[in-house]
Amino acid sequence: MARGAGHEVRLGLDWFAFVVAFKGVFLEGLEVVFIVITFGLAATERDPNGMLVAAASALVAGVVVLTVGIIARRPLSAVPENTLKYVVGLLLSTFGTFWAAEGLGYFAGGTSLQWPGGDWAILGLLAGGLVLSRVAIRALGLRAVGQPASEQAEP
Amino acid sequence: MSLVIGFLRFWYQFIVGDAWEIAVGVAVVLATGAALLRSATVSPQLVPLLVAGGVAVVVGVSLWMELRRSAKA
Repeated sequence: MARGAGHEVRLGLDWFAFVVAFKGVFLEGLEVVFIVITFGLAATERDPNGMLVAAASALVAGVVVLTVGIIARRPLSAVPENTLKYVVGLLLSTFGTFWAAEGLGYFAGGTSLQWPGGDWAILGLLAGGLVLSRVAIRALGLRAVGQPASEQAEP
Repeated sequence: MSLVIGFLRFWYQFIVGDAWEIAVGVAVVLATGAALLRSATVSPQLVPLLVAGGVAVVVGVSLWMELRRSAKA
């Protein structure tokens, strides 16, 4: 996709890269805000400084991720785009399913639902997602036989 | 106006994307889970497993629909 976008320069910036990076940071930033507020409110029930601790933890995590990103930028930029999308998609689907089901506890007294096995269920969901995705890739890959390689699904 | 359309298109692409059946299916699965909990017809411990199974079924149906779509094309 990135290769097909051309190379448009606006305000001295690679515009495609800027828009993709902006959307990514904006969306993830929005998620962080929701997570910090959720965790902070829950922590405030036990500790009056809960929100402050949650916000400070997010700030520290941001600094750590930024530092690791700068240090590991060369090997990270060598990872194929679709491999990154695949891994991130699996992780988002896993945590999304996990938290969505926990959040349904709102309709059952307000407390989070508990997965069988607790947090270990995340690994089960990840394994299930991996198997499902491999089946989908195989089915769609078989369908794509005869199409040009550039049109076939990766990885 | 194009800014508004672009904004709405962005959110549609973000939430629905190119497989509307997954967005609708997941919404149905979660609504069913909420309804089951409200009516107390199943144990709350069972609902997460039902949600996971429902999501897997939704993905399977979407895959089947995609294969049918491409077979017709």
